[in-house]
Amino acid sequence: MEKEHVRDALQRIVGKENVLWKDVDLAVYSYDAGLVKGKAGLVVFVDNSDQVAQIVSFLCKEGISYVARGSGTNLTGGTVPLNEGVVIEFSRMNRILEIDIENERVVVEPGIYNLTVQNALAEKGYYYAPDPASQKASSMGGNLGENAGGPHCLKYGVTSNHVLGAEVVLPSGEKTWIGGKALDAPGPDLMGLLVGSEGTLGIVTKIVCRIMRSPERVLTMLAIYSSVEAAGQTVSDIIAEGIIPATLEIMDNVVIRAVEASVHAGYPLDAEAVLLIELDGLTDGMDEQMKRITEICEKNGVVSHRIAKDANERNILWAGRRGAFGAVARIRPAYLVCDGTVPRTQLPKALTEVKKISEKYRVPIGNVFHAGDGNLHPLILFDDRDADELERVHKAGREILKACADLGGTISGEHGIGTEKLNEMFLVFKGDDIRMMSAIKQAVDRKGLCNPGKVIPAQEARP
Amino acid sequence: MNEQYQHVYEEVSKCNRCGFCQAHCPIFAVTGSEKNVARGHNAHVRGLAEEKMEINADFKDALFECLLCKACVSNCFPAVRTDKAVVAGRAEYIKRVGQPKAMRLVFHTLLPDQEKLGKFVRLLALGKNTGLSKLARAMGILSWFGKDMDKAEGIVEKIPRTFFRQKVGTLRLEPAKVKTEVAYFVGCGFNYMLPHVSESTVEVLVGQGARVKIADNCCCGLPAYGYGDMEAARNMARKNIEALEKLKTEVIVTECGSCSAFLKEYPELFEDDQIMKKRAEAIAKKVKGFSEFMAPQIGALSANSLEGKKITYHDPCHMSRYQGVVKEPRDLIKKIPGVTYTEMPEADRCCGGAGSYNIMHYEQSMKVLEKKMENLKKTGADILTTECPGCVIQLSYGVRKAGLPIKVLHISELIKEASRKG
Repeated sequence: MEKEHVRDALQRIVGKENVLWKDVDLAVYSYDAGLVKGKAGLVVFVDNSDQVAQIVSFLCKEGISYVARGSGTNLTGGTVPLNEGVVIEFSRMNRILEIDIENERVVVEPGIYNLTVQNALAEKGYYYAPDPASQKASSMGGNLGENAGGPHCLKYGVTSNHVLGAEVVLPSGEKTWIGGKALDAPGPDLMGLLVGSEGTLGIVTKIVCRIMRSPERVLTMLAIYSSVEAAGQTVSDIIAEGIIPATLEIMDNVVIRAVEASVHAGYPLDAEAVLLIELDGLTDGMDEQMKRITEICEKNGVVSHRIAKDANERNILWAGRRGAFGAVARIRPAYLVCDGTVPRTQLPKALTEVKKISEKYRVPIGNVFHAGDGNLHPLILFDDRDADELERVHKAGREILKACADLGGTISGEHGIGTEKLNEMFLVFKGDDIRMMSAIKQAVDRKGLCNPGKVIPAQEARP
Repeated sequence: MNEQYQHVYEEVSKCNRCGFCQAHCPIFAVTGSEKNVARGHNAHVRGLAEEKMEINADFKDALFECLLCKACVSNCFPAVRTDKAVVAGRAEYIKRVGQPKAMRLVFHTLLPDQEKLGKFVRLLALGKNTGLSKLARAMGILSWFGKDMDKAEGIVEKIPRTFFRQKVGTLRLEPAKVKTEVAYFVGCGFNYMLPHVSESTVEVLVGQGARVKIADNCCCGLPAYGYGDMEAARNMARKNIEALEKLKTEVIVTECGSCSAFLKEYPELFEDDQIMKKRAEAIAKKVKGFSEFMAPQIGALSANSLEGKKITYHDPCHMSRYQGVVKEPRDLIKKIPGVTYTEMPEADRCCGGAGSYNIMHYEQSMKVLEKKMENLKKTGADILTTECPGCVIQLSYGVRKAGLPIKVLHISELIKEASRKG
């Protein structure tokens, strides 16, 4: 198909200025925040769902593949266009359509940042629970596609627990609604299927989310440890005690030093680990709970601990955690994050494995993880201009994911599969399950044009 | 490896594409286009440096639509100097793709020469103040400068009849009791467009016991640097270093945020010329912005006509992010008795003026300005003050367009009013 012909047709749908086609402009749509590279054929900025439906219908008719993209802050290639496909860009489709306090729902367009929604809700005393560290720039559509988590998911669950409905443009170009403001739709959970499908089953154009009243009180504690193991043991002990804090986040020394160089969150440079514990909810009983947690910390040899005095101090402590990925560029220019997850009790073993792999492949690894739900984020640090190092990094990454799978865990907590972990899918899925995924994909997207080559590995690729 | 990018290659290589810059870039907020955000700029410059891409005319929008406001740099975890990367890209662009003749004229002939620039501004003023500008517009003269020039013409309300330098002879430069001696660097924006601000500055300086020596400087060179014309920027820097050295003062003051920021950066222009670099360093060390110089030493102020007024402050990019001067202007305002200081949300968000950005990219600049006006309205302030001529002009235009009952004053005008006796 002639590129000019496609361009002209798309320009007729969205207007001339909303289609990018020059190499210079396309080049910056060849990446995401991870390591996968692709090549865009065209980029089209959309403003409303009718345009999306028209675009998808047209591309379906012409047999051209496409991928929906929000902010491109994803980490495993989910929004990277393959085969010179068309990028359908949602950055300008970023409105809040409705804040429905009585029903505790918010309706948003996919391009809006998670944090923009949070800020609008906060003014009314509400919030949306999933809070990925990338929240200030990652889009709600992307959060849905990746089934994003975040520190607070320990207590409140991930995106799929908070999205109740969506307007979707199916790969046929048909516009439809799945779910809605009501709590539960009967029959198979189509909404659940869509969340985390990384845009391979259709394109979401409106999202209905559950919102919750802001907690009466929040207490955030920073606990300093001289070993990662002690911090990890504290986490297990807290949960064994029957306390589920809103967050339990650990960072190791490599990450602490990088974070401090960049955002000055007040983590001591010589600490081997810091643990961020946040309690939220009713004021009654919270002090007692924090007292109990403090005792558990002390039992595990905490070096020191302090509680954020106010919202400002709390934000500073969190700024360090949210900036952890970006900050490691202070040490080495690039990183690969392996988003493996293990049952919580296996965390110490997983960390030992990570350390061994770091030594084996001679690549520094920093650890920052959602300790409460066993979600690791080992950051393998390297220079992507060094081909030999890059090769070792990829090997190390694969080995870490294998170690997680071997410990009874899985290969992704919240960053998705994209193209980066396609092969690793076979570590956790054995055959019929992947066949079922393929069959669903095939049924919904007959021509295989909707973000092809992502998430579901080809059966033939099985090692 | 393309040598042109040697000095920024390590910087752009540190960009790990997290994309958080999207939340901070005022231009990305308007366009939503990756080519306009730091991550995109870093990718382009890296591609050019590694010779995987080749510069051509298609790079124009991506490179020149950046405000150089540094909001990305301040919020970037590894603090990648995207501003420098963009300027490096522009430098190669004008070398390889070309520079409009009018630009060359401005940077190489007008800006380095007070007199020629004066004559040119006079000519513009004639057009502007008499309606001749319509003729100029019809002839397409304004479009020499950029596609948006004719639309942007309303930004400058009126060009004054007399420049500051022409008034110097009538000003008091010697205090009754000399406590100190300062050189006053005359920014073009004030000399030609806002001479009354320069007069205020001199009056306040003299009032504080400073003997004021007016520097025989030309443009600081920042406009040329911003467009990637390093040769022109260096040429102007050399002239100014010479002019300032002659005055032999310990302190050099300017109330232009852009000039003070760029004078402090002069040493970076001479990496290949150690002798010039040393001289530039000696000058840079002496430079102080108006509030930076004034805040620690100003004595009693009185409200005068400011009594009961609510005042807010807009941080010029070149004051806050380029120089880290944030506290001083606020301290100054808070020293005025009988006024209330109120902080504007996102006070340090670029107003979209950005030198001549508002003229070259009118539509985008106006959308950036709209956001500023929204934030301004939230303050309920009577007076908006700032420390940069570009911001004063842009913000005045915004207030005028939005019909807000808010007075825009340079901070030196504010302090002059508060220093008035009785």
